[in-house]
Amino acid sequence: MDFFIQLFTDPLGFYSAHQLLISQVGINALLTLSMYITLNCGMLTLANVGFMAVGAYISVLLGLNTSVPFPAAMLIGGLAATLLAVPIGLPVLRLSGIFLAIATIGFGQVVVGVILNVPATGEGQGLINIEASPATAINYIFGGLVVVAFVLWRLRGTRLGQAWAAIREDEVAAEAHGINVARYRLIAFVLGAFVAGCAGGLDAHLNFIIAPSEYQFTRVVGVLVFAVAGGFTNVVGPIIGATVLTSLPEILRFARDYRDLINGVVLILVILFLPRGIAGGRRPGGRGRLMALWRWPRSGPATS
Amino acid sequence: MALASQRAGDIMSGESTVPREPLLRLTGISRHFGGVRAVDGVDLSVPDGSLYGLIGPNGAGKTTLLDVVSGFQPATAGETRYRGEVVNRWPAHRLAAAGVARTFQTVRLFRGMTVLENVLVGMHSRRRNDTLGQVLVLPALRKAQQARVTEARRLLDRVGLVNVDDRLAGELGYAEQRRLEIARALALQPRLLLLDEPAAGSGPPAAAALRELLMALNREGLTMILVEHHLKLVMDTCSDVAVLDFGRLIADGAPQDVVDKPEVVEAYLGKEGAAGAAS
Amino acid sequence: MTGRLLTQLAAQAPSFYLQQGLNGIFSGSVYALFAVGYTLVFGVLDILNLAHSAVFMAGAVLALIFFANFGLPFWLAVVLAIAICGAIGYGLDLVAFRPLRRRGAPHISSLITSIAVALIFVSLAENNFGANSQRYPASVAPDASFHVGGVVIDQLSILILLVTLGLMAVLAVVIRRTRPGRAIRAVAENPRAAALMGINVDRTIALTLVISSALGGLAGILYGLSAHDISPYIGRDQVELKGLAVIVVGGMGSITGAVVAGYLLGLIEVVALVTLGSNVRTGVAFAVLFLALVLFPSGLFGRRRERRT
Repeated sequence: MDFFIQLFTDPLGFYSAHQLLISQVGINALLTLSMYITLNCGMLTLANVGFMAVGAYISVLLGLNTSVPFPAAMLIGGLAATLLAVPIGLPVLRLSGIFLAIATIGFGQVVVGVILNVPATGEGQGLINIEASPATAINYIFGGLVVVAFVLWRLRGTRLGQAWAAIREDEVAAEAHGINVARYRLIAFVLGAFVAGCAGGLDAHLNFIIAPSEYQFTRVVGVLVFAVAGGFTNVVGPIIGATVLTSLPEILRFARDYRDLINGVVLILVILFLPRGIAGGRRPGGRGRLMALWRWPRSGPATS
Repeated sequence: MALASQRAGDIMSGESTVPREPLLRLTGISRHFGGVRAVDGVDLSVPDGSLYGLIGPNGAGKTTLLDVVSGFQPATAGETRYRGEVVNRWPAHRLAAAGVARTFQTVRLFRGMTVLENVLVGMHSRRRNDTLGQVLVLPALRKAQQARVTEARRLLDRVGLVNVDDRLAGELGYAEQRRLEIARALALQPRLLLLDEPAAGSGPPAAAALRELLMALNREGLTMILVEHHLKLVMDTCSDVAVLDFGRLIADGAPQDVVDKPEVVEAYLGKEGAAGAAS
Repeated sequence: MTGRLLTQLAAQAPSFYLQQGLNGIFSGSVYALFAVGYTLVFGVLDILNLAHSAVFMAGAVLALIFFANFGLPFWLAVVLAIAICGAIGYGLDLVAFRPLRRRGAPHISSLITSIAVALIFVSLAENNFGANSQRYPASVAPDASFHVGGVVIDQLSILILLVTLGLMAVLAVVIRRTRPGRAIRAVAENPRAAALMGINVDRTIALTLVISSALGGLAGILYGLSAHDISPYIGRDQVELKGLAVIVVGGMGSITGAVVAGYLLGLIEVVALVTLGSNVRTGVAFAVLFLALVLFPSGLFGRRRERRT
């Protein structure tokens, strides 16, 4: 309760007391938006944390070994993730449904495997990032979040946004109306990688240490949970999902030991009673139906 | 067949009597799934400006043939020429952008989008890439968007869908969904429109409206291939008819000639039925 | 560097390779047993049940609690733990899957609820069992071993191998020959047609989850016995992702495929460990997974799917 009382009666005090939490909310919102981009185009890809790791390590290594200033290093990290997303996406995006999800999980694990084996990354120990600056990171994080959210919001109704929506709704019909499905899926994947890579650089600027243990499967699952719980039918949903679920442990401090248990129960309740997520609205058959459209392929013979 | 194509050619060119290259020419098209020959060595010429009926019993391979023509399934053998070009290896989206539009046997709308949005998506390939400008809120693009919406409304009006712009496509009735598919396909401004059972689920008034629509479109010069079980619709509207049975083309030509052929009657009614009909 | 590695490897006696190969087969047994349940649920429900790894953990933890805290004989502790895991499978369907199925919810919803169930079980284990790794007392498992031509084979590994192969044989017979087994196959093929044939689909799905979870729990116990490592995190760290790799490479839903791929993963890991070192071990499994997916999109034992309009 104190959490909310302070939030409303003493916002400045709340800000200084919870600066780290607020920054983490921003990072998680960015990551969730990066997943929203691909979900919104009908793909469940779970490579986001892998791209995040690439962005984080590249920006930290640049900061430690060169004189590149932080925001530039972060953008270079994001671009590196983008460039990597092209050769990964070309073969992998031919898969669909659960196979696509699993292949991208595989990519994330390979990234962690590479980090563990390349000496420059500090291997299992990770790197100490003396360049980190949590106080300035928070500005970049929210600046970035505003830009990303604005662009994604504006994309709806553009040629690109409409093509993504059409692919999500029905790939075959989209293709039949002149939409190059493979290309637009790749654009979504690559753009998602850019946002995730930048989020990685920002996250590294917030913490004085980065280590491979930060980029495990659990974290991707967390991001997916934010997206689904918040609802990914519009730009607001992912942000709300990330905000609520990142703050929940802080709000439930008194029950710290049962944090995951409560998370689990909340999640089941959201899925059962708010099928389109917290911000997804209740309109039956509405835009929330999007989720229903990517049925995963059966292993048996195809039936029409 | 030759007669029909010449007639269509005359209408289009106005003078020439030399048979022109048809809009679509299939030569020896086959599509096999393992041992199953869904389409088997089909030769077909669809003249520019024709309304070509494709009929045959269930499972004859009509939808598979449409899939091959529209690039959704590769032909196992044979050649597809569209506007004189070999297009066998073209992906479906490229064919669509080149003017080959289609509807689907099982309706495939963007169910979670509004009726209007469905039609707007159909304009994808002729829409300038305005993504960056729209993101930056350039006012100049407003006008273009307005023009698209007006055009989409006109198309919806044309297929008889009024006052449903903002309904979700998935909420429409079955026959309405089929008409929305036609409007969406027309938004492509196609040269060749492939219709897969557009009359399915329509009552007599709706079927009559559909007939009017098809004939009007055809008068405007749109070439169509119509797959339909509703034989009367085919007989009333089509300039040419081809009959598929077990993947093979068993007859083609002017509608009345084709339906009287004994092999066609046999394919539809079975051997005994054919004998009964003859006696 | 490669040269040195090769000379090192060449210097090893043949028995070294035999030993490593056997180790791969033994760890492969656990993967296979785990993956069979995983893939069975996917085949029937089209759902990736991410709670399966939590059930694996629960099997290992419950058996230890029953034995150490309640003083039950070990065999009884094992039987009880497996029974409870089966019951968990039933509860899982009731809470996480059935309501969504009724609603025709998309598969991603079930994926998320299964994650939620996993979170709940891991949290319960953390609070009631402790976060540290524990082990079964040495007295519970056969610890004799014998040497054959320089290769050490312990009875426990043999036992695990036999139990796995035996259960797979039983499962194959159940699925092919018995009434409930035929119902499971029918539902996997087409739930609607199965319902029309008079099969109780809900009950069949629940049964699938019970079988799957009981197998998962047993896999956890066998893992605990052989790896001497029981903690709330063994499911997440040891089998969750590797199990995925196994069922994908085996072809989603294919039981034979899961068994073969389980053993294959055990062997691949050993090869990676011997040639490249322990850091590379997990990475290699996923590099293989990644390649397998790109090269054989429907798995080694999966059937090809045609694109339909």
